[in-house]
Amino acid sequence: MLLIQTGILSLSTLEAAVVAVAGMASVVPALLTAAATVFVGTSARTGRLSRSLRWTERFIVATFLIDTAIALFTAGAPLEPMVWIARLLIPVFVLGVSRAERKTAETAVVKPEAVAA
Amino acid sequence: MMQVERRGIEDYVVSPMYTVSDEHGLGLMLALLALGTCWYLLRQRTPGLRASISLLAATGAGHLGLALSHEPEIRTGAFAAFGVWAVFAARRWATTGAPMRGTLAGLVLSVLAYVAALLSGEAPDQAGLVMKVLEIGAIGLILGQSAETKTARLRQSATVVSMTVVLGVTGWIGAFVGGGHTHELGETPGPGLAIPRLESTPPSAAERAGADRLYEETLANISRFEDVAVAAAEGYDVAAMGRLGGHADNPAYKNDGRILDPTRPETLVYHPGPDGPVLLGAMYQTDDSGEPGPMVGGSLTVWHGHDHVCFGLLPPGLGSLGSPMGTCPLGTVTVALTNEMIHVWTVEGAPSRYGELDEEWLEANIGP
Repeated sequence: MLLIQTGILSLSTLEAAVVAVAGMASVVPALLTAAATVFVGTSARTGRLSRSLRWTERFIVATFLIDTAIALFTAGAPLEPMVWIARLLIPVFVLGVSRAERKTAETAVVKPEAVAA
Repeated sequence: MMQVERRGIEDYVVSPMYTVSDEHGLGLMLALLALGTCWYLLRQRTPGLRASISLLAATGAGHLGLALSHEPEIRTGAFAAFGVWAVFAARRWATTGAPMRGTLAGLVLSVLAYVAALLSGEAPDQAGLVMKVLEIGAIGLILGQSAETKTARLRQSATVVSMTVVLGVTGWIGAFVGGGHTHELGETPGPGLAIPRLESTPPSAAERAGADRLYEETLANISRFEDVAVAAAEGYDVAAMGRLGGHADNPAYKNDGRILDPTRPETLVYHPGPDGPVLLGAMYQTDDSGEPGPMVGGSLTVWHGHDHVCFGLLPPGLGSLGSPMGTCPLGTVTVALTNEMIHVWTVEGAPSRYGELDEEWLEANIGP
């Protein structure tokens, strides 16, 4: 999931960079997307679900919700299937795994104390 | 005043890249159904195995759906053969716990065949892209099973990331080659261009006269803006036209309730020439998204909108077009559909008065 997301974000960075280099857009979206690519790519390589990654995923889900609302309001239709996969299913899956891992870690730390009590 | 019915995105022809084509709907539905069903049935297995088999079964079911909904031809046979093979391989994997020999090669070949089709000018659609992403996911999981060394892990990462990027880039190529930059009714436009879904009928005498009147009145009213300083003095944002493809907007004329008023065109269009910007013509806009523009010249004066535009917030402006892989760059929001607009080209010798101006003519006669 994280590797596919890294690929999707790399493509998005490339697209934003091409438009920025052509002088038609600001470089800010390209830089933000590149930063997200680094967070996600690093997690994919190391397997560590960092806080930066979690905020990146939340940010992607938030933009999905805003975009869906705009699409329904302006065009009267929801967004296409790849949008749901790239910007809702993958981030929610990653956040779910991250949450489960943190719970497991917390339980492992708390358990001896609980037993002692 | 008569209320004009607003258009939704379904009332426009847009690039197939952002839609699920009619004949691919069944394939996409079967793929998603198989994914969910396998995921549930394999709940006792490890998450990696569960995901790998589910993805393989999903692409198999999807290809069988494509075979069922396409006209019989060689490619339909290939869809059916791949679908049967993938479903069989998924079942075998679920039974034995190990992928069948050739599973990885079969999936890679399937992705490469799609990439080759895109490079040959076939426009992608969302069903095709979703199925290839499922296959790339399965490829990553298969490679991950044997990725015990650092080199093997690097190979897994590089393969999945590069295949995803290649799929996206070739998706763009297919979409632009397969769909033109046409503004004509009934034709398939390229990404980002939305043409009203109307029947193209030959213009009547009254429509021809209406189109001529629009051209003449526009020409008479905007000639003074050949001097960029005059346009700037009257409120056109000529400073921003460099990043808007030569379009200089006049904010005071937007959303003013006056549509197709030659005395107040919302935008002027310039192109860099050897002696400074050359006025090409004007662009009129409607006030709201989905509001149909008046086709005073019938099929001669077709309005268009833009779809899947990524609008940057930092600072406000164009970000890019929506990616085939469903994303907009971070810090942008997707504008699913813009207002309708129409260009009127008044520059001397222009090969067309409305719609799209030929790029080759522009380069040869005005400047690169």
